[in-house]
Amino acid sequence: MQRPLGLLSHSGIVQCGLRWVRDSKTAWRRFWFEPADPILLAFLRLLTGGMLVYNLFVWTLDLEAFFGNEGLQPLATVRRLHETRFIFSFWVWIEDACLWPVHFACMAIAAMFCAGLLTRVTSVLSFLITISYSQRVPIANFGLDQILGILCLYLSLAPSGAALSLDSLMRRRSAQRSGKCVAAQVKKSAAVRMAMRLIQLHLCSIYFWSGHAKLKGSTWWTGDAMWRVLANEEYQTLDLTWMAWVPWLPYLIAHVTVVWEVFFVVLVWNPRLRPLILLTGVVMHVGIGAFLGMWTFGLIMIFAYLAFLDPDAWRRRLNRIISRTQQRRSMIESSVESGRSGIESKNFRIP
Amino acid sequence: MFPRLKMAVSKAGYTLLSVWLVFHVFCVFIAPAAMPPASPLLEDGYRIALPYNEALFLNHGYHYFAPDPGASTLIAWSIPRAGDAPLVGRFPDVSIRPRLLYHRYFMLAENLWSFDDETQSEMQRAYAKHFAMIHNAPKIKLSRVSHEPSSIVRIQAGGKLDDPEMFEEESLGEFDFSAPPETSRSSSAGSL
Repeated sequence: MQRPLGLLSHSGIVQCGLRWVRDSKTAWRRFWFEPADPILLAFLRLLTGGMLVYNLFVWTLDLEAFFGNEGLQPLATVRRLHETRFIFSFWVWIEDACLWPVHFACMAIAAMFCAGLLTRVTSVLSFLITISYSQRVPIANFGLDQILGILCLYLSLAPSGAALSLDSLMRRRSAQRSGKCVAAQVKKSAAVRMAMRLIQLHLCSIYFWSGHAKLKGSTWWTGDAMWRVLANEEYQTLDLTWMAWVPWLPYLIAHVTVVWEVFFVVLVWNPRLRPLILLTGVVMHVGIGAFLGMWTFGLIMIFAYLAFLDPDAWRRRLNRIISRTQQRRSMIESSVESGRSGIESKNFRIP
Repeated sequence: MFPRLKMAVSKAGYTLLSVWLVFHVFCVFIAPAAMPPASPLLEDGYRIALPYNEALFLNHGYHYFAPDPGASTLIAWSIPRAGDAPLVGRFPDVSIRPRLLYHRYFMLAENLWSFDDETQSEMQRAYAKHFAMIHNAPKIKLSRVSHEPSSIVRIQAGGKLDDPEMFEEESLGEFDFSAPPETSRSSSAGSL
């Protein structure tokens, strides 16, 4: 028999509260620590590591100008800027004589991180390298540096080298040599889930506050903002002035951008809407790359979306592709074998 | 006894990790939230998170093209040549390749104005010195160029994105590197 709410006993309320606390604790554990397959995090490591290597390579082209003690951002000025702040950058201790050796060492570490070699160590070092470069040249920073730092931080917290890495390849080889059974499945890890959740929440924060900041400006309400971005000659890589004759288009893009950014934090958690929300983000970032010339920023944002994909589903897809490839290879090998034996038997019959 | 201790340590580790996660997510959300205009409450929260955010390079506003996309800024330089027209240039220059390096130069021109006056002045001197050294010149003039995007109406009326009236130039002074460093800036900034 159901009792009215007003007559709910004291112990009933306590029990209800205790159940809520228990459920919350379980939900917290599941959200942050339910073991996850490292496949997507490993793929993210490959892409982020590749971007880091490219970023460092581009610094190589003008290293002395940007990082030299008397360069475009003099060391004394940067030290003064940082003296009252909690900033880490090993570059503030590096003299000009060591500039190139240190830079090449950083590139080597970044390449090792990308390839997944000694990943537990190189991932932490790559994070320190990323923030050290960015903090040394604070005026030359933009969105790429922020996102690269964020991704390297989270990749260093989890076993991002557990798959698609030289580490895992070497582990498998040494297990094969010692005659141990090589596990087909990669071990799931709670740290992987935690890193993926942190990336997801960080992306939510970035988009929400980016959209929120746009709401403070009048041009995002009038729709002119998108035109002002597209008509900015210093950014644009393609002439989009034809949009002046279809003005509703930049207005629409401006409104969709703001709505999408503000509501990303809510809508991306809905499993049905997630593909649409992520696809919209991909289109937006490809647009940033193609029309505003910021391919590096656009791509690093898209890479981060891997944190929103289901690792188990992608593992199944990957396994299906691998097994199909193996089947095809064995079919080809067997047909080659049968062809060869046919030729051999023919040769035998014709003396 | 040992398994109990192990369990207690693991429980304490789990609790500590959970507390860190709450603090970290708080720091991630509070940094951009406290960008002005912000309430004193948000500013206080920002101050609590600041050392942590600075140490991990998380102290960002994420105000991409916000609140309003403005004019872009370029730095123009001019080197006087005796009996000849001055040698001129500006950055960012679209000939800079790859595009990421172009963006680094673009940010040098674009981000400088958000720093304090002393930093701006030291950086301008560094920019001047860099381009003077490239061209082996003792003197160089710098100016700040604002490039306002053309409006839709202007383009419809036949205007172009690079029409001269869309540019506004402001002198940042002349820098003389043949003189001792204290007196190397010979003239102060002023509108051209």
